[in-house]
Amino acid sequence: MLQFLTDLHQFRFLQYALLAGIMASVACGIIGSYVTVRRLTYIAGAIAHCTLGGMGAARYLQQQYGLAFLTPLTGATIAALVAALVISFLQGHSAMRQDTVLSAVWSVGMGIGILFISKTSGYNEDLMSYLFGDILMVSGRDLLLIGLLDLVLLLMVTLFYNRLLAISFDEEFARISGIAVDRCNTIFLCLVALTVVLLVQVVGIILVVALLALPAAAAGRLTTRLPAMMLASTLLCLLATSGGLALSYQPDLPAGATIIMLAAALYILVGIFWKLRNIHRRPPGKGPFLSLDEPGNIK
Amino acid sequence: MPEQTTADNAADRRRVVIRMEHVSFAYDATVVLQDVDLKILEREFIAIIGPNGGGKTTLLRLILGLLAPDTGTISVFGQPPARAASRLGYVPQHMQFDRDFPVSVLDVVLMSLAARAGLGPFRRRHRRAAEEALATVEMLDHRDRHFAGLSGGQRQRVLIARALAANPEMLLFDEPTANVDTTAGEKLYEILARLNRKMTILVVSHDIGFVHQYITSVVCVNRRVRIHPTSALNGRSITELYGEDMSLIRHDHRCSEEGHFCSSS
Repeated sequence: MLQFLTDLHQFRFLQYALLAGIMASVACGIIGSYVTVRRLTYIAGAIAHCTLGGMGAARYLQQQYGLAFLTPLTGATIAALVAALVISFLQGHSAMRQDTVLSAVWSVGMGIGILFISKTSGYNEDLMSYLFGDILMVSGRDLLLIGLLDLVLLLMVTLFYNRLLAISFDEEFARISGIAVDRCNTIFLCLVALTVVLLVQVVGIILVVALLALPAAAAGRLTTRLPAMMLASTLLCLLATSGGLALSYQPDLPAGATIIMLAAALYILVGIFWKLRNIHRRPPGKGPFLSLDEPGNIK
Repeated sequence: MPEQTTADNAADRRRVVIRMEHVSFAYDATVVLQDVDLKILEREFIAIIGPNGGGKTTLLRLILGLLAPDTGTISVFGQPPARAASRLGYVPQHMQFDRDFPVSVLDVVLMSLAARAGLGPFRRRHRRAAEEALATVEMLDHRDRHFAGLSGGQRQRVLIARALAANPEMLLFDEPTANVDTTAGEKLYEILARLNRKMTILVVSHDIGFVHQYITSVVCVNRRVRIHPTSALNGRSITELYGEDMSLIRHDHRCSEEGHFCSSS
């Protein structure tokens, strides 16, 4: 931990890593809260796995045809947006079951990625960093793109907050009240896609879902309004990414996995705190302790 | 078959708010509604009753423009339903909501204004409209509470306020008294009766034979649709709808002339 703090002054890659974690936390807290209250974690998982296709294809094109601008991050962004549009189109225009659509997108995206990576000589080691993240490899250019994605997300959420809240709470009523629900949902999935791209840089494809869901779920227990949930979730995410980075540095542990472990620990701690507070507040002789069917009377 | 109207008097000059002509609807091969003709006039207080699976909810969803009929035409305020939907105030069942959803009472009421408020945050006038709607249902004191922490009856009133905030010309309710205790149910109907002075009200009720004193007409739905003014509703029409061995309890705290209870068997 101490080593981390002294090296932080010295090494640019550490500063970049910390900044990337901080910026990703903002997106993670906001979009993670929506994803959690709408129970769409599985969609985020499908989009995350699709980014492998984009990163693999980008690396291949970069190496074979010298397209230097096509970085894996750019490829991931394109793939995630395409996945979001495909999911949103198939949901609206086909009779396929949702989990079939998501499983298909999930595995086809990964398949494409693995095919490209196998044909790209000398880049097999990239696979590990894509799957499990390598926050210490974030470059200045990546950081710029991450910042840009963050700004787009903040702007869009500010503009669409009311509609997204209404749709998340009661989609049918939103439709009747005149909200263009399908269009808003497509926009929302694109925002999820951008967030996933940011988080893939920090914790890798496989662990994205945990970082999206755990801080938001913990925040949901501590708050009763969505903006507060977003703020609490952002702070918890910040704690997990920065703390995980610091803890993993000296013993040379994988940063992504450490971040997730920390996020899980925070989730459990918040859960215990919530239970204790509820027992404490429960009037005597009113139902069993530790009931899972607790009425949502948390204020 | 002559067009059915919910009004007792054929010379009624009130505006027609909902008109259905020869409407049929099927989910795949299952016919849910067949050749429905229906006319609802403004300021009526209609109850839709019928057995489960009889097509009540489908009828409601057709009026709201969430479903399109296979044959026939529907007009709401003289427009196609999907275009008129924002003039309707819809109050869904309060049980369907996620108990942990992070919203306050005021947040919920504001939701009906999200479409017309445009992009970005709500303005002061939207907040004022939402607060007025909450005052109408006597829930203004609870504006900052967590929606999930309310009782069933309170939640139901907040959902009414959500519909009212958008200033609708008609209210449509799915099961207003489901999972609400009797006192809260009475309170709900008092509020509805008050609102009925200004707007048309339609309630869907699964309570078999439940006919409240405020209701002016009953629409019985079981694939086909029959309309009865409440005064003419008796055990025979209920038998027609539900089959034998079904009795009708008139839900009325003042005893009516025909008595309190009619049996069909």
